[in-house]
Amino acid sequence: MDIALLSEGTYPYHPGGVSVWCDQLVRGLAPHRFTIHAITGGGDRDPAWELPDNVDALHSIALWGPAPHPKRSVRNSAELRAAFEQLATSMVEPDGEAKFLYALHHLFALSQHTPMVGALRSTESLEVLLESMRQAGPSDRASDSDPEPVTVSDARLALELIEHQLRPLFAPPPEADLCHATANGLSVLLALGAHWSRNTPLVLSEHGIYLRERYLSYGPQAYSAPVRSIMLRFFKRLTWAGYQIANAIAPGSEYNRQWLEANGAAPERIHPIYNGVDAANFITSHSEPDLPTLVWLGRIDPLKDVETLIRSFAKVREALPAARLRIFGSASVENQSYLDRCVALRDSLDLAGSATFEGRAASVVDAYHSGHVVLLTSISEGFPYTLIEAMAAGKATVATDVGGVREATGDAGLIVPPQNPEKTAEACLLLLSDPGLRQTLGHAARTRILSMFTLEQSLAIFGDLYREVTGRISSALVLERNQDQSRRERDARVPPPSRRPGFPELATVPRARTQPTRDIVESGSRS
Amino acid sequence: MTTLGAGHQTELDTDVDQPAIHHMEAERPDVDRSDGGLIDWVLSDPQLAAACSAAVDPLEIAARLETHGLSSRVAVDAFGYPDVFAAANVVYAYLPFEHIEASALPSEPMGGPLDLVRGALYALPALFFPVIVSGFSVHPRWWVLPVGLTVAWAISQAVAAIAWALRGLGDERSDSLVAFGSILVNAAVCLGCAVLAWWTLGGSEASVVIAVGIATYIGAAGILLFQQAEWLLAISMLPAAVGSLCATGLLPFTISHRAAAWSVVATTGLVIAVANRHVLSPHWRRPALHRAERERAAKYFLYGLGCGLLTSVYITFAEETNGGGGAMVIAVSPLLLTLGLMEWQLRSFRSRATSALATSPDLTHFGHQVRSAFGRSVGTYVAALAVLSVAGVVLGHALHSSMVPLLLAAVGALGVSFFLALLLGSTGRIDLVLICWAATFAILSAALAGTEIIRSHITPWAGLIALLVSIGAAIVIMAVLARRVLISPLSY
Repeated sequence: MDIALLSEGTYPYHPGGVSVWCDQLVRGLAPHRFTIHAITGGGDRDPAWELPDNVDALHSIALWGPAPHPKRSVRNSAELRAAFEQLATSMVEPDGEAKFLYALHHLFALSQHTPMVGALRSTESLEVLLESMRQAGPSDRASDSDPEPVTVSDARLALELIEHQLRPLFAPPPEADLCHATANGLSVLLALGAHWSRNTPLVLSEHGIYLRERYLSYGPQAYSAPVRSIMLRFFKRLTWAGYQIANAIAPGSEYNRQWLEANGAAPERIHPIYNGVDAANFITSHSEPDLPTLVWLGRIDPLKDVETLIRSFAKVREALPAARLRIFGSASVENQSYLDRCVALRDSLDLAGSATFEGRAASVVDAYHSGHVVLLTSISEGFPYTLIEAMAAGKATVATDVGGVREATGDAGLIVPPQNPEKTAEACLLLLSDPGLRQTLGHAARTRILSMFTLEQSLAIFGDLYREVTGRISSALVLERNQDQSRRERDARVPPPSRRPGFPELATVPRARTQPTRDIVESGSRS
Repeated sequence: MTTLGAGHQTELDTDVDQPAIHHMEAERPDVDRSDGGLIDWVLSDPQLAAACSAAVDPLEIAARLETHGLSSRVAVDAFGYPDVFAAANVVYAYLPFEHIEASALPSEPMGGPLDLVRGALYALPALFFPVIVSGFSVHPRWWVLPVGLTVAWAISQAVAAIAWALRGLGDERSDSLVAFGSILVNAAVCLGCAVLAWWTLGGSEASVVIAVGIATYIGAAGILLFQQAEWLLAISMLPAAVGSLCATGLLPFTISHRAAAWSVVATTGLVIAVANRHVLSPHWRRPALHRAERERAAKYFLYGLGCGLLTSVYITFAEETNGGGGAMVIAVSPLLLTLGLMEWQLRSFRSRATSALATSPDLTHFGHQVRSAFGRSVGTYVAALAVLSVAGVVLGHALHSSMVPLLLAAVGALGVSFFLALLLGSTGRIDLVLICWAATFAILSAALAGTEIIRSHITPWAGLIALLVSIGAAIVIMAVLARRVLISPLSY
C-alpha cells in the first residue's frame, strides 16, 4: 500500500515525540511504501532523521518561503475574490463550518488551473478580511473597556498568516492509497486536496490536540485580540473540516477524545491508539548516579514548560543542595529565544552549576539512566514518549496531569498539577529520598509498559486501520482488534480516586512546606 | 491583573488566598458546585486570570484551564461541572473581557541625524579616488570608475538579497561564506571586466588594479553595512579619511600625497579583513537557496546594474565635459552630501507608514496618511537637493563653468530617481524599479541613437541632456507607481 504521511513542523526535519512516532510508524510498517509530505516553516533544508528505505520521496511544503508575485489577472479574478470572501465570512458566521469547507474547495479548484501561492495577497482580500474581523471580536462577552478596534495592521497580519497557512492547499495533492495526517490543522489541507482529487481516504492522528495547542500558542501577548480571534476561528473551522473528512481519527489517548468530540468529530470514527515503545531498546539499570539527579528529556518548547521544570528544581535544591538536573533536548530555530529565556531563568536562580542543558541525547536510554527520577512538566501532551520510554527503562517518573499522562502512568508514577513548581518539587524530593519507592514505581512502570504500550501492539493496530479505511480487510478482524484495543483502553483508564489503591509508602509523606501533590493527598487521606 | 467588577466581587465568598490545588482538594468530597468557587479558583492565579479574561473563545479558556491543572476530571470532582468545557463556558461568561496589549511587533524606527553620519560613510570614499590618483601618480582611464562602481553595485545588491533571504530563513551560519564569496566574486568579475576594458578601450595595469580595488572595497563595505557593523566600517575608514583630508588640505596637518594614498590602501585592506572577520569560524555552511530566492537575487543584481550604469553614463559624459576640473566635484557634491538624508527620509517614511498601519481603521484613512508621509519624505529630500544644487550653481558661477547647471541637474535627477527606487525597493517591488530602468535605458538609447544619426557625433551636452530626459521619464513613472504601490498596506 502507498501511504502519504502528512506532517507539520515535525518529521523528518525536527526531533521530538511526534517525529519519533513517525519514524517508528514508517519503519515498523515496512512492507508499505511511504511518501512524506512535510509542511515546514521554510528554513528546514536538511532532514534531522535518516529516512528508511521504504520512503519513496520527501516533499517539503514551505509555509514561509518566498512566493512569486502573482499575475494581476489572478489576483483580480472575480472567482478568487468570491472564494476568499466566502472563506472570510464563514469564519465569523455562527454556523459557518460547511461554508468554510466549501470555500476551501473553491480555492483548491482554482489552484488546479492557476498558480495560487501569493494570490490572496491583494487589497481586495484585505478589505474583505477587515470587514470580517470587525465582526469576529468577542462581542458576546461583557467588557469593562471599549472593544479593541480592528486596524489595517491587524487585517494585514491576519491576511499574511492565512495566506501562508493556506499554501499546503495549493501544493500538488498527495498521490497515494491513503493519507495519514500526523495532526489535524495544516496537514489536513493536503489531505483535502487528495480527497477532492482522488477520493483518497484519510487517517488522522491527534497527539497533543492541534486546536488546543493553537489556543495556547496564539496567546494574548503574541497577537492582538482581533488577530487572535480570526486566526483561532480559522483553525477551529479547519479542525472541524479535518474531522469531517477523516475516515478514522486516532487520538493518542482516551483523554483527548473529549476535545475531538467537542469540535465536531463523530464518536464512532474515534479510535484512540496509544504510542508504543520497543521495550528491547529500553533496558533497565540498577545503578544510579552518586548525586541525586533529575532528568528531563524532550524538545525545548513552551508547551513543555521548561521554566516550571527549572523553578521546580530550584525548590528541590533548597531542600537537597547536592541535587542535579540534566536537561536533554534541543530547540528549533523558532524556539531558540525560548531556550535563551530558560537559560536566563536558570542563571537568575543561580542554578548554572547544577542544572545543565546538554543538547540532544546521544543515547536516550543512557540519558534516562543518568538520573534517579525522570520528569515531565508539559502543559499539553498527547501520550508522551518521554514518559513511556522512561517507564520502559524502569525509571520512577514525575509527570504533569495533562493529556494522556494519567493513562500512561496509571499507578506507576507520580502525577502533579501542571505549572506548579511546589508540587513538582515535592514529588521529586519524595522520590529522591526514598529508594524503595523509586524501585517499586520503576518496576511497576516497566511492567505496565510491557503489558500495555508496546510498539508491536501500536503498529498492528495502525496496520489494520490502514487496511480497514482502504477496504482491504473485513470489518470482523478490525472488530477483533478493536475489542482488544478497547480492553487496553479500559485498563489504561485511571479509575476514580475513591477506588484507587494507592501506594502504602505514600502514607508516610511528610507534610512539609508546601501542599503535597494531589495523588499523594488522595492516597494519604485514604490510609 | 484582571479584576472583577465590585458587584461580582461581593458574590464570591471563598478564600482566594488558598493555593490552587489545596483549594480543590479541600473541597472534596463536598464539591463546591457554585460558579463562584470556580471563578475564585481562576482569580487566585493572576496569570491564569489574565489569560482567561483576554480569551476570545471559551475553548481558549478550556485550554488554559487544562494547563493550570483543571482537567475534566478536576472540573467534575472539584467543581461539579460535566467537563472542562462547561467550566470554561462559565469562566467566559463570568469574567469580563480584558484587553491585553500584545507585545508590539518591532516597529520601524524613524530616521534621524544619525543617518547623516551613515551617509558620510557612503560619501567619504569619493575623496579616496583622487587621493590614489595623485598619490601614486597614476592616470587611470575614464572607464575605471564606471567599471568598478557598476560591478560592485550590481553584485552587492544581489549579495544583500541573498544574505537577507538566508537571515529570513534563520540561516546565519552561511554569513561567513556569503561575505567571503561576495568579495571574491566582486574582485573576480571586476578583474574580468577591467581586463576586457583595457583590451578594448585602452589603459594600463594601474587602471585594472584601481577598478578591482574600488569594486572590492565597495563589496566589503556593503557586507559590513549588512552586518550592521557601521562602527567597524567607520573605524576601518579612519586612516583613509584622515589621510585624504590631510592631503586635500581640509585638516590642519599635512602629509604627503603618497602617504595619503597608502592610507587609502590600508583602509581598503582593513575593510576587507574586517568584513571577513568570521571567515575562520567553524560554522561554514553552503547556503541553500530556493529558485524564488535566486530569482529575487537576480532582480536585485539587475537593479544594482541599472544604478551603476546610469551613474557610469553620467560619469562618462561629465568627465568629457569637465576634463577633470572642479565642476564635476561641485556637481556631484549635492548627491554625496544628501546620501545620509536619503537614508533618513526612507526610514522616516517607512516608520510613518507602519505607524499609519497600526492606527488606521480603514484603507481610505491609511491611504491619506501614507500619501502625506510620501509627500513629506520626497519633498524634504528634493528641497535639500535643490538648496545644495543652487549653492553649487553659485560656486560654478564663481568657477566660470557653464557646465555646472546641467551637471547639477543630471546629478539631481539621478538622486531623485535613486530615492524613489529605494522607496519602491523597500516595499519589495523591485520588479517595478526594473521596469523603470528598462524604460530609462530605452529612452536613453533612442535619444543617443537619434543624436548620432542626426549629428553623427554625440557631444557631452547632448549625452547629458539625453540622460536627463530619460531619468526624468523614470522619475515620473516611479512617482506614479509609488503613489499607487505605497498606499497598499501589503507593501509593508
